[in-house]
Amino acid sequence: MPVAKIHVLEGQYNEAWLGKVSSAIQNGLISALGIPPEDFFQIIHIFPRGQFRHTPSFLGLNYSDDLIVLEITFISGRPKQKRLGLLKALNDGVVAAAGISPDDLLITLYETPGENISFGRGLAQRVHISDKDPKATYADHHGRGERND
Amino acid sequence: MIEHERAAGASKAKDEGVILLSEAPGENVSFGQGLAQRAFIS
Repeated sequence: MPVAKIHVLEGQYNEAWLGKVSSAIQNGLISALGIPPEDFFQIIHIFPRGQFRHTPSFLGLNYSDDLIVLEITFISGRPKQKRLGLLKALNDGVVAAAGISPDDLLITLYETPGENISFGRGLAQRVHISDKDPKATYADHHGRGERND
Repeated sequence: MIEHERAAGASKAKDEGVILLSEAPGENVSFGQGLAQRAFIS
C-alpha cells in the first residue's frame, strides 16, 4: 500500500516532468519492494517558495530549487536492507528520469502496522500484517506470491 | 482587564497548536544520494 507524497517547489516543474517523477517512484517501489503495479497511490504537493523552505546544504549535500521531498508510508516489517535498497532505487530512478542532482531527493520512509490502514470500506484489509508478526506474508493469507502490499 | 484578556488570549493561543511527532529510524531517511546518512541512529 505504499502512499507516496511528493513535495516540490511551484514553477519548477511541468506536468510532463512530474509524470516522469511519478513513474520513477512507482517503478522504484515495484522493483525494490515487489508491489504490484496497480498498488499505486501518490499525492503531489506543489508549494510556493515561501512555503517550501530548506537549507542550501547539509551533511555535505547541496540542495537546489529542484529539491524533491518524498515521503512514503507503507506497512511495517520489511528488513533494513530492503529499505536501504528502496532509498537507493528511488534516488537512481528519479535522478535518471528527471535529470536532477542526486543530492536533490530527500526521502523519509514511514512504516505503520497493517491494522492502521484501510484501502476502503473502513476495513483494515492488511490487519494480519503488523510489527508483531513481521514474517507474515501476502502468500500466508492469499495463497500466492510473496508479500507485496 | 485588558491584561487579563491578553493572558486569556495567550492561553487560548497555546491551545491552538496541535503537534504530531512521527518517528522513523535512521535507516528510513535519505538526505540525498539515495544513502541513509543516519542509518546508525535507530
